[in-house]
Amino acid sequence: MSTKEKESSKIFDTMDSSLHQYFSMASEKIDAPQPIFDEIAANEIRYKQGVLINQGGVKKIHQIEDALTGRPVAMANLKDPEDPKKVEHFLREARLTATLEHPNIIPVYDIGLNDDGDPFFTMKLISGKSLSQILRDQSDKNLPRLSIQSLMDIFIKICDAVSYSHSKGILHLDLKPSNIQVGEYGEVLVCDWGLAKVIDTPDETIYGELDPCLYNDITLDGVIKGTPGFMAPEQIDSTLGDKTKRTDIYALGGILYTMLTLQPPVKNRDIQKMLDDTINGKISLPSSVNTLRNIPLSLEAVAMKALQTDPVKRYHKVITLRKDIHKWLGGFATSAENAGFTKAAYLLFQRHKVVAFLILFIMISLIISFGVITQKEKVASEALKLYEEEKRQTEIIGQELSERMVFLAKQAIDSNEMDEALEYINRAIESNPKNSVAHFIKGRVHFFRQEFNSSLKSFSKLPKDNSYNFQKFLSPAKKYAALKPDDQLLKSNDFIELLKNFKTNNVMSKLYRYEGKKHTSLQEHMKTCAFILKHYNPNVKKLRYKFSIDGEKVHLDLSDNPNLTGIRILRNLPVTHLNISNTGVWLAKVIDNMPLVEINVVNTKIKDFKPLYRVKSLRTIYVDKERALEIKTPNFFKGKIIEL
Amino acid sequence: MQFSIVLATFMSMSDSDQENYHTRETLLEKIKNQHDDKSWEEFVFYYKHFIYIICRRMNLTHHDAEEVVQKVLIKVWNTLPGFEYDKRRRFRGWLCQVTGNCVRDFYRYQKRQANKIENASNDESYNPIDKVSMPDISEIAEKEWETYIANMALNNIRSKFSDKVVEIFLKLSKGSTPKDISAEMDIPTNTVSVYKKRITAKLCEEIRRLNIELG
Repeated sequence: MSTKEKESSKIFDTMDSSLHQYFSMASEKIDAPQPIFDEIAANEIRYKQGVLINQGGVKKIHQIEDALTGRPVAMANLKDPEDPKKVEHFLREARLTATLEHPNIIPVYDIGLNDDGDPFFTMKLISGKSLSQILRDQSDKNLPRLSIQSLMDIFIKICDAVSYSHSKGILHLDLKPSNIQVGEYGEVLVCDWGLAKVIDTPDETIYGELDPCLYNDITLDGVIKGTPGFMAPEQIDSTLGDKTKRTDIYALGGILYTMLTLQPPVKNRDIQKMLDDTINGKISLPSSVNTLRNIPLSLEAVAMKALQTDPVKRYHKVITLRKDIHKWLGGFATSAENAGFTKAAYLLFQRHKVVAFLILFIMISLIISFGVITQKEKVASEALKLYEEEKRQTEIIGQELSERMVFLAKQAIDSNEMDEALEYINRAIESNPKNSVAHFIKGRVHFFRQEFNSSLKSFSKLPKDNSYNFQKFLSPAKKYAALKPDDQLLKSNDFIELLKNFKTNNVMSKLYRYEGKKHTSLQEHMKTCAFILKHYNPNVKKLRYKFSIDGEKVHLDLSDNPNLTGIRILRNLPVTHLNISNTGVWLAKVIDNMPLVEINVVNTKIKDFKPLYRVKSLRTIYVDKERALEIKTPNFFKGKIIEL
Repeated sequence: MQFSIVLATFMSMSDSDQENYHTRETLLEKIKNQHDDKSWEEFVFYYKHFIYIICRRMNLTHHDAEEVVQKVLIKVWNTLPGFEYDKRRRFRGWLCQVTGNCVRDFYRYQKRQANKIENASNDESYNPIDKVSMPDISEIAEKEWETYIANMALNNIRSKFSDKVVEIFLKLSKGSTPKDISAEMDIPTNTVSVYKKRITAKLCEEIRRLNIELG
């Protein structure tokens, strides 16, 4: 700093006092122009009277100028602010929406009471249209059509919002196109969380369950909340199940369906008819509804999977649904489509149109060059080059197809579809015999299928270094390969011995699930089940059980095992007569898969008998005297109740 | 009411640095918080001359003023970390008080020395401070501060204008009319006014900034 050396005296001597005047000039200026500060300081009324832009059954929405931030906002007020219960719920909705901070969820800006003491909340004011308006415009020939791709881009954003809210334990329960706002610049916002419900509270929160009765805008007989067409069957008839994340997935399916066909999944003038159709799953395939538009079969499959009447058959998570849409956008087969080889190859072709056409072009040029100028060596060598080029391209495609097949095989393994997995993995190897990941997976698949000879053969193709973790399979595979040919299953005693090798990882469950599907003797399979049951209930010292088959009747008596709590692994056993009296079993849901005719639940820890009503074949329930009323009162169970 | 008060090390600063000034804390806050050599150097750089000027206005000689400046700086350095910075009560006021006290101490010391050596207690020239009360000191200091800042501001913005424009501006501020200058330098009167307007706006802006920074 050269000025630093400057003597103070020099500065003192050269100070120009005439410049002093500018200091006061500068101070004057600083005082004057503070228009924003003055405006905010002077403000007394933040929100002035606005224009009504929307209203529902309970709320009205005004467009209002926020005097402090200087922007227009949307303000929600109660139509009937006198009812304290409504006020509380209105504010809860506002708070609940405010907790959802996501780019695709309408942001709440402010919550408060106005001068009259009435509650209000303000939200982002969205310019643009609702999705239902956009879809309506699609039918108008004078307006530009949106491509399915751009509709899917919107749909992905809706999925993001719902997936996020589910992660916070909040269900929307009223998803429909008119509750989705699409801004002019592509912003997608999920609005109207008035029916939202808190299902679980992952963190401590102050929000209890909301009473949906107060928020809906369509009320049918004062019972059903939601909008027909987007409302899942379990929203119409609560005996069909609880409202879960899959209820929202159904609605997402409805939105997807509407995007594809430009009409809701069920359509009728008679609301009752619409509800019946929903419950009975009477939904026409999108491609049969809208024949003008070329509806991608993959998306049709996704929509129909999400719209399954039985919640279990729907997507389990929004994220999986989103992934499928994303796959479609990227030109892959979706899981709902159960892509076969030809479909996958077709999609591969779609993704690599350029390369594929190049190959076609090369092949044609090859034919031409061979046919017309065979004698000319120069051209022949050129053709050879082209041929090699083609071979290289085919290899690239082969490699990619192989990767894709490995991916599908992994998915199939995850869902315990071993037949499918084997099919995919064989194709993966067919497309690229050098794919060592494929060999590794093939070795595992064979192992799960108890095809130990084939398993060893696949593992032998892998490098001997530690890049693949298959060592743990080797010695059991060798041991059991010697005991039986690949097309037979192990005897139950041997199988249990095998399971003991894999107590800590999911190999056990894969082995067990496959055995459960393919076993030839139920008696033998039961031995395995008993072993697994003991494995999952380590507190049970000695498992007491009786298992007998008498014609069509399958008796399983697990009574008097007080430490037995989880029997989930028995879900797929075709038991007709089950006795779980004097056990610690507490979840009835796990047995609703069984074709039960008779069940004994005396002295169990079961809290909720509801899942039993869903078992249509059930005729007799043995239950404690003091709990019999719980089954009798809802009057859903038509069979015999025997009190003990 | 929140101001984000900011600092720029103006004299050696490039334009791109100036763009970033709003992300920085004020010089005072910086010294207070860091209390390190670098920020201290910066502080000295800005305030040393100002303290010197006050001392001189309080009739100290060049040599004595330099000595008192050192004393004030030491005192500030020791006190600053605990200094409760109140935006309504200016730092400058406090600095000025410290300076005033130091000057007074200095005179008392001089007086004692003089008494001892020359026994000339009635010599008024050794004790001019008795005639300058504190309000006067702050009045002097205030005026000096304003001039000091205005000069510093002009210095900072000088590089943005040509020498000629600055020259014209200085002439105007000393009382020349645009007409005089127009005639003297052979420039249209309008141009002179435009120059003045431009540089005044920039100067005021810089004064405001410095005043917030260093005040």
